[in-house]
Amino acid sequence: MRDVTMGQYYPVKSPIHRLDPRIKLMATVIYIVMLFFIPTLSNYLSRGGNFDGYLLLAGAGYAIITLFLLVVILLSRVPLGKVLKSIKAIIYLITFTAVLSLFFYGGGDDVHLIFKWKFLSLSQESIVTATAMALRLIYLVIGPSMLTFTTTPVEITDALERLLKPLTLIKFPVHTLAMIMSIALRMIPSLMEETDKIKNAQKARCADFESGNLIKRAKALLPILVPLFISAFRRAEDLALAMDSRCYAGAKGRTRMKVLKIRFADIFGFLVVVAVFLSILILRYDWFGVASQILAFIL
Amino acid sequence: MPIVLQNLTYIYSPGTPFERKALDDITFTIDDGDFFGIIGHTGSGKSTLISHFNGLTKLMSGKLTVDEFDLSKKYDYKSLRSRVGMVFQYPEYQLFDETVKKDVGFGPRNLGLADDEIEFRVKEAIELVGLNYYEIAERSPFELSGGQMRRVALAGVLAMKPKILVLDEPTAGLDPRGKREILSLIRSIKKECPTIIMISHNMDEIAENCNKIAVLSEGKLKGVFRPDELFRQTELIKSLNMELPTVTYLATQLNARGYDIDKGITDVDVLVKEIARIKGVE
Repeated sequence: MRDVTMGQYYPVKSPIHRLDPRIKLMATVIYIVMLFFIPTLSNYLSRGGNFDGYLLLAGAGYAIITLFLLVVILLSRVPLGKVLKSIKAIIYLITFTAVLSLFFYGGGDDVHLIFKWKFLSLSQESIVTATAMALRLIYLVIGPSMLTFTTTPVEITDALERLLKPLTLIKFPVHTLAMIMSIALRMIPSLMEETDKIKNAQKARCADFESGNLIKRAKALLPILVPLFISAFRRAEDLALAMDSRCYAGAKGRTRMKVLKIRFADIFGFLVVVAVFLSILILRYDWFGVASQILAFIL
Repeated sequence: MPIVLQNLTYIYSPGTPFERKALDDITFTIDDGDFFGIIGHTGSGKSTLISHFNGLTKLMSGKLTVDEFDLSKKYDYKSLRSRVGMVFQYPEYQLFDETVKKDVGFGPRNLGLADDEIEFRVKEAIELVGLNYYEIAERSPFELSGGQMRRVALAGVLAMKPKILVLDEPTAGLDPRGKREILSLIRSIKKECPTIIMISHNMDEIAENCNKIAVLSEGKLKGVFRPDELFRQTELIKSLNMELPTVTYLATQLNARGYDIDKGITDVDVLVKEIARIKGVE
């Protein structure tokens, strides 16, 4: 049961763990955006680029991001194996997408064809596209996983509440939303533990969750789900009472015990992310002609 | 046949920062007909230990045999689990079905028994836990009182006719009367199910019922004792942050104040007789 939590907080001390959660949250958003600034091959070609140009652009782009990720992972002291494990959840999606684009990349007549059989074809273009797609999916998962590996859910919610604060001006209930989120996050391990307990109790009565067809298995879950729901409601009621009796009244007049402070390292970390983003932009839009000069130099 | 543990070791999340040794080289034997107590403070490994007995926790290292089942080899888990009934803490939280009858019948149904056999066992089990079958069978388990729910949950395990019953703090969260009732119920079950293993934090319950007691601390076995042996060791009890049974506490206090009374007494009748003896009244 515990294996499903992808990117569960990894409790070690590291410079990445110490970074301000707001910085890490913003950095993650920027990171995701920049992944999409590396264009796909067909998009690049349709804007008048050529295949070799794309190889350079995408190659350099992914190299920069890989380097950035590696530095983050090494600094965070989360074992590489643990990080790679977070891909396991979407391994089928990645394989499916990669295989599809590997054999069904059309691309017209001027592709560097390797072989063709009926509607299936394999070309240099399709290999590049499939690789780029798989890489993008993998990096899309690893990046946010690094956030959750190095930041506790409480910190993330805190950061979110702080970052969304401007929205209170338009009467958006930011605090309530953050509170709901942190309670929900807080409840996940408790409910998992509860599920384990109930599952064991029913297994002790010879319940079988593993065999049978889909309908039979879904039915077999009932002896777990009913007690789980009952206990979730009981917990929720207890929690509401406990909060009430400690005079919880929402955001009004509430102060923080731990106030987030930006340190020099936070600014530095953020600047690094921005620099990486800029280098991707420079590559993509050929600012200052950097990309084309490198290309001309190599060719 | 007995339960034999040899060098049982269990480690949670090996190879991660969460790694923790829950059981460390445990060796002992539980004989047929034992009322076997397991004590130790929270996190000492008691629950992990008992979850080995019916195969809920897979053997990591060491050997474990339960009756004819060798848990280090392949075995039929359904027959093991019907042999070893397990009642967890707050078992009433595992109730789920529409009626008491259906819920108690869950175990027997999973064993694939015939309908009339299930019906018979359910009735027997409900009566065994001291409830009125005709009154309760068709009611929803969720409209019963806490004590009744616990009995129904217990019946749900007994309906599988186990020969070994494992109880994890069976009296937790009950009022004094409920505690007494459940314990006398457990004693009466012993006729049907001769071997009983019980985890408890209440030393009175342990002293009163168990003939052998295993003491766990931080995953290690401190020893297996008879009650009068164990509660004589005031230092060990103190080091484990546990209390003496009320009767033994009184005997110890009398002994310390110079009265000629054995401080290992765990039986209230024996203590009464001893006091009468030194007072010279019969």
